[in-house]
Amino acid sequence: MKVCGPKLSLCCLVLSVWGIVQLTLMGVFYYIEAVALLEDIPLDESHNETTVFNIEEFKRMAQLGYSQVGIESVTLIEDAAEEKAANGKDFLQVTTKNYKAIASNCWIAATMYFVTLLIAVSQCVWAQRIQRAAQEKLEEEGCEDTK
Amino acid sequence: MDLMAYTMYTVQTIPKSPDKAGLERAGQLALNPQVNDFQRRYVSEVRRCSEMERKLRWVAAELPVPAAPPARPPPRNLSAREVNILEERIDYIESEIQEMTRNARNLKADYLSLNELKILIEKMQTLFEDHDAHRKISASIHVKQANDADGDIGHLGFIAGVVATARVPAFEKMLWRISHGNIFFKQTRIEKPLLDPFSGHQLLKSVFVVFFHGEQIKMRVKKVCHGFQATLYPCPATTKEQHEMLAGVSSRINDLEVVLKQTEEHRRLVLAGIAHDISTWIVIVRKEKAIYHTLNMFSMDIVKKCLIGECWVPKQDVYIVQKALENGVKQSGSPIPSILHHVPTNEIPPTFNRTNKVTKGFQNLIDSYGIASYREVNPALYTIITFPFLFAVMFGDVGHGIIMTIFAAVLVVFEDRFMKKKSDNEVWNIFFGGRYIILLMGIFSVYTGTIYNDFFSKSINAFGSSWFNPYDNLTLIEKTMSLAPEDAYRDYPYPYGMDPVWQITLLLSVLIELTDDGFNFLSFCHSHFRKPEAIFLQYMPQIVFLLLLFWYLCILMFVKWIIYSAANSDPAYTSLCAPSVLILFINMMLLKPTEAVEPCKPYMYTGQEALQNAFLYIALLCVPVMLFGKPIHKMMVGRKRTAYQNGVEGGDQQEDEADSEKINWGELLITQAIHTIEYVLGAVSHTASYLRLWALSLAHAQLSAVLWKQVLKIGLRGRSYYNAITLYVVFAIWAFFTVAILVVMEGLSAFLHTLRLHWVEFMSKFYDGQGYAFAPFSFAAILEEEEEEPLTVESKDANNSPPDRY
Repeated sequence: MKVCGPKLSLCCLVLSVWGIVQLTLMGVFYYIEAVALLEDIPLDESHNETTVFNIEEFKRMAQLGYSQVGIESVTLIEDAAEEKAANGKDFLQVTTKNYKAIASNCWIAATMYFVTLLIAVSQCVWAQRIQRAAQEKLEEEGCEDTK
Repeated sequence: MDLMAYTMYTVQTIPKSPDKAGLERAGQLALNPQVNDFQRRYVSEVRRCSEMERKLRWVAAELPVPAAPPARPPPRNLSAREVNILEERIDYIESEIQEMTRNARNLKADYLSLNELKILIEKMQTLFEDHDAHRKISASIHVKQANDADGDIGHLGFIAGVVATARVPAFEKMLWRISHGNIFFKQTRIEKPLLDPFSGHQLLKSVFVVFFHGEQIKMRVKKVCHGFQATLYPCPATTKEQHEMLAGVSSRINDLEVVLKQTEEHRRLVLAGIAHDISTWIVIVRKEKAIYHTLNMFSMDIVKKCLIGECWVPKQDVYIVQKALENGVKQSGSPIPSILHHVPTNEIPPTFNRTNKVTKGFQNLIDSYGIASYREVNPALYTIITFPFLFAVMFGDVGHGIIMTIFAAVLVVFEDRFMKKKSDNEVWNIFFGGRYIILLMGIFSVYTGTIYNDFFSKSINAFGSSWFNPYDNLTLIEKTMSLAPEDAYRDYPYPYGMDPVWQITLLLSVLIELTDDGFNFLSFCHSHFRKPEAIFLQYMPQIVFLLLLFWYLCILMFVKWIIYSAANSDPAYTSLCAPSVLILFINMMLLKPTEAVEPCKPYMYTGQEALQNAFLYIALLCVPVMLFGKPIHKMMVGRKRTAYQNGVEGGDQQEDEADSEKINWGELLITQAIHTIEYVLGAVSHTASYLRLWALSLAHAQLSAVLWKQVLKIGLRGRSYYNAITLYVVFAIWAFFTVAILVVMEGLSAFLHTLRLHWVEFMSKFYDGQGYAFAPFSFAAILEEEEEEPLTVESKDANNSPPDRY
């Protein structure tokens, strides 16, 4: 039953909790961005040229005040942006797909951390039980000696 | 900071007064040692207690299992009779255990020799059986028996014994040499190591037999054996005798084993019986010793048969002390009451700051630099806020702040449990002791993190519409800092002169520095309010100097923010024309006129040039005031006094007072010059020093960004579902590095810099820190101190005998 000692299991417990919380949130954010981007695709003709379109282009467009670009809740676009896309529409579509893939990866990892959490909790409880038993045994011996 | 009163109280002499203990429990006194240790009255009692403690400690060491600390509440103090009884009991226990140990050792020694003898005999049998010598020996022995009277005929005698295996070669060589080769040496090793009762080690030994010819050689061999610490045993020659001896030895060994076991049992029982009480006894003895030690500090007034003691008491607590005294008098039932009254004195009282568990950490930080002089302003009060705030400016990140806050919150919520578990781990103790500091630091970091918009290096845009026209209003500017990191702020179409994100932390740091200076001055004023000349001649010029130069810089920055905006219609005031404040400031100091490019104006507002020059000159004027002000003042005061003295003939004023007021011009000027230079240079260097706030915050932001990009991004890269596993692993690695590098390392670094900023740039300006701490008598402190250093406490007393074990 024993996989790891009390300290390691406590560490794993903390890490699992943190992992679950953060990865779930990250998944949510990436998903939101995908939805937002999808909704605000600028189906503007001018951006269907066949110039190479990447994230730099995108940012420049945004800074020039292109009001149709979607709102970002967190600056996660660098993680998801496609390096090279044929044109503007392509860029946005592939980027959206990337966002969704990342989001699902995050959630899967969160579930894996949940499993780790269960294991860590069981290890912690088990370690505590052993410690308590050892303490009781010590007290018993002490009482016997003085009799 | 509490007012201290110097009081004196008299106590009737009783062999041991319980009132003293009662007072100590009130915990409010600190006694002044006055007399030499050896002359004090209670030296013998202290020595007795010391002895008892030593014995108890030795007995505690003999226990097989370390004794548990006394869980019950500490017992009441014992009367003199009970102390005597305890002492006797301890003596008895000690002698009993010593005797038992001695007996056990003797028994073990006997056991060892018997074992050796048995092994010897067994080995001898083998030695005799399989060698020709056996025949020779028996033959010679028979010859000897036949020719008893004839001692001349060569007969072979032998000596058998046991020696350490390591010495056998040297032993053999020695024997060879002294006997000129006329001996016959045979040895075999004993396989099983034997237990030495004295040292407790296992020894490897060998059995040896030496056959020789003649009495002289026998003497020599014996001497050699003695030199090599070999034990000789009488071994019978014939087999039959050997068998008999063997049987006898075996039975004796068995008996001895039984006895040994019983002794061990008995000893264990006795020790177990004591184990329960020993901790309580040790505590009692230590308390007694501490009480006697303190009683020694009283001086003895033989005429009135009472003890007089002088001590410092906080003025507020005087009535507590009086009540404790009354209680003690009632308890001891003595007819004479104890008296407590104030004594006016010129000595400097100790400094006492009341702290609770929250403020204690901060007070420790200040006290490490120097304990405040009596009645000086205690900076610990606003350190509670400024320290975490400065830390947070350098550490600002919401994610890391949350980690810190949670960690500190766990420590605080479960602090009772942690306090019971006394740990030896210093690192843990340091962290636990500073838990409130860490908690505040974490909370403030979360706050600055939201201002910097940094969440594990990612920014959160809650207000929307950040991508267009970011300079609409100020709040949006803060939130749109998200554009700046790593991104091309170079892409900003409207250069702002200096980057907004850089300016904010830069401005922050300068602002903070000047607020701190403001605090400085307030504190200084408060500390020295009785000395107006110090304020006017030293303080005003300092503050004016600082005001005119550095606060003006801040004002310029504010003006620039307000006046220049992209939406302004006046072409001279658009953001294109916003001048660099730094360059303006440098030009001001160097008295250089700035050039302008049309349509921008060279200055921000009309009359700026004239105003700046005026400020500069006034600031420069402050310097000689700082330099010469105080000495001139002293000189004038001195002159007035000497004039007065000369006017009044033979005044009552003493000689030494006039001498101490004599002006040493050189020294005074030099000190003042040093102070002035220190201050002027310090003003510039300290202001620049606060820029570390900016530097560290930048470093932190960049580090966390790098960590995200290089580590976590790997996990986010793949597009298939199997990349979730990589994400799982990568996240663990990223979390580990975040905690290890960003929280722990950066946190410690920011802590250190904050501490340095406080100590050097802040406190050096006004803090005197020459006080000494108020250390009231308290049992808990003494018990803890004694647990850590038992030896030094012993050596304090007259009893210099080393703790002898047996």
